[in-house]
Amino acid sequence: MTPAVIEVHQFLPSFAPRDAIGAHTVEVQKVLRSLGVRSEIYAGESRDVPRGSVHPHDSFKPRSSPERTFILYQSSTGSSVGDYVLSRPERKLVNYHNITPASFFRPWLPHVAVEVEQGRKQLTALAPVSELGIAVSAYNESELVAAGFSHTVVAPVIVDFAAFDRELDGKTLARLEQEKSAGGADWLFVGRVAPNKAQHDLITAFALHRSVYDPDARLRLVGGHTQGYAQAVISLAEELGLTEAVDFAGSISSGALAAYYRCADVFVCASDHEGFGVPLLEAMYHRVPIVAFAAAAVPETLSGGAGLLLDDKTPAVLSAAVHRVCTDAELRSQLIRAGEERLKNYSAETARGAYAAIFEKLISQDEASS
Amino acid sequence: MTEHEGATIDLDQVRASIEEEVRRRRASGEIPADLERELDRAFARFVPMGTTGGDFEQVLARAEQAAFIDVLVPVASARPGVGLVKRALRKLFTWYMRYIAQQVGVVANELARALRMLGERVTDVENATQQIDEVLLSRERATRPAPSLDAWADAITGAFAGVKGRVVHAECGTGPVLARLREAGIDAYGVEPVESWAIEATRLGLEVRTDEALTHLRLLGRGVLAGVVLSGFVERLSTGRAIEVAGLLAAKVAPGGVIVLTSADPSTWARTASPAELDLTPGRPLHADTWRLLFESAGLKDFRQLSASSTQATGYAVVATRPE
Repeated sequence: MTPAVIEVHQFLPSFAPRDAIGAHTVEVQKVLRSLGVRSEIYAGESRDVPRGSVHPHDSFKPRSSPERTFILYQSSTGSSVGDYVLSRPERKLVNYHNITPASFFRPWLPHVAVEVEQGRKQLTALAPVSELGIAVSAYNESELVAAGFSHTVVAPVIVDFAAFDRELDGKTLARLEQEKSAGGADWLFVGRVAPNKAQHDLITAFALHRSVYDPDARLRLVGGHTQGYAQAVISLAEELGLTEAVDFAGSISSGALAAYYRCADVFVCASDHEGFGVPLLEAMYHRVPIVAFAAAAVPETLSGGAGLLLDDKTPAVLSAAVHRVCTDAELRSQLIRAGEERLKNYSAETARGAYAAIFEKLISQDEASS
Repeated sequence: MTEHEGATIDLDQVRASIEEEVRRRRASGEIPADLERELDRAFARFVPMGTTGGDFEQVLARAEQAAFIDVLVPVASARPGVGLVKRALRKLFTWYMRYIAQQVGVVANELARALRMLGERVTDVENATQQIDEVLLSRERATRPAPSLDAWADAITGAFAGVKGRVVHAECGTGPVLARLREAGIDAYGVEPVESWAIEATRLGLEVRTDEALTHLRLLGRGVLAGVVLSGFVERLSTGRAIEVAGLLAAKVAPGGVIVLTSADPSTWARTASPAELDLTPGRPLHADTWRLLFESAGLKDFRQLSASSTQATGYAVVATRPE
């Protein structure tokens, strides 16, 4: 007989509140606490968090016995936290956000390639000792199954879209609107400047777009910088004479991000690998039409015609597609409508409900068997 | 790609119309081939060596630049007063930072010097082995008529039926297969290192880039091609390069994409190649079954041999696909 679960604590390699996984972890904690379950967050490292809200992973001291405690591991890369979770006697769950294949990082950051390879190994090691793998997309679920998880379920990442409206950064909005008044379309992509996100393909397509269709267009790249690759992308923009036209905004607050979405004419994604693509949902929320390369989980996230998917992202095709979306009002409004429709599957309420149902089922199974 | 209820525009048609628009603009010169070629190559200058076969000297120069450590830490801050605190801390610790930076800088410079020496020795080894100047071979090839793939043109074109997206023919010669692919509605372009052949193909209205086939494939982004036709250069590859080609195909062709390779037969190649080609070429044509092995090792599938439309055909043609 297994006693009923009374604690579910979350572990993750690093915690940052602006990060999609960080925000998701906080939301999952709220869901767990609303069910009367004791729940804390533990991380290998954390930054910009109120004191006491996230604990060092090695300070974990559950009050209940290992049989009455679950560890929910938020898996997205390799870290010593994964090994720590594996070494613990508590029952285990994995929430899988995808681990970027090492091949993307090997030429740029060999140590990150080693880290993500370690993450894949940890995922495989977690498979036989985990009671459930929760994937944020069907694409990720297939990777969990391939890693050996026997029980899996898909539940979307929880995104509080309403925060964008609460925190809109007026100064940033005014600056972007002023720049917009000079004419030209605003391309937007949101995501870390990293090899798998292929911002270099956006820059070359954008260069061709300015040359052939719209000499006043601007490209705004929002997201933190990955050492080496980001410098190469910045150098590429300089080489192509786009220094003034490409805005490397870096990592910004959600209020400033809301302003970027509001001023965007089109969200363009050339990523070679996305495990889900939260910014795609954010674009849908802000009624920005999407043009995207159909790679990894992107077609799943944009299913139902929620974006113009391309099998070819050569500069000529990508820029022509962006031009079409910017100039064809009927196509544009259809993509926006389809995005709004698609977003209903990913509303914060729907996602919270999905996680609540998963945890309620786990708890009720335990209560029934105790 | 099913669309939501109420959609009035078929996105498949939109995609087809975008591809058609791109074809039209390319043909009219509105999208200049030179610009596309420049954009293909632009990023390669900034990627780490080994990613696309970058320049060793350039990378070494960058490493030497990076060996300089700036001890003057930036002190700007958006928060009031923090800049002043940073400035004071910098002043306090500069003597210490400089001491550490000097030692780290010496180590980094010595490592860069050692790498430079190692690079020179590797170059010597390469020169002493079978590194052959492709330009020399191209010049030799240019003295002969461009290869004809007429006997295989029907089979090659048929293999691309229904393929959407860009198809490259490397090396395309004067472009006879390329022309057939274009006639069949396929968005095909060519790569040919022999400039006179590339110019001849361009005069016929074909889009052909003067470049080494392998160099061109290395520079392309992942999954950007819907298909590839390989001919010519695949008969001259060393074993290492042949393995590299199979890997490049698996990386650069999109899922579901088609690859066709035509080659002289190893047993008859010695009779058809020129003496210079026989003497200078680092490799020789492979058997069709060897390509099967290389393709399958790289993750390609559905390998099969094509039938020529003429009994006069020499060599073989094989087809494979990249799994969905």
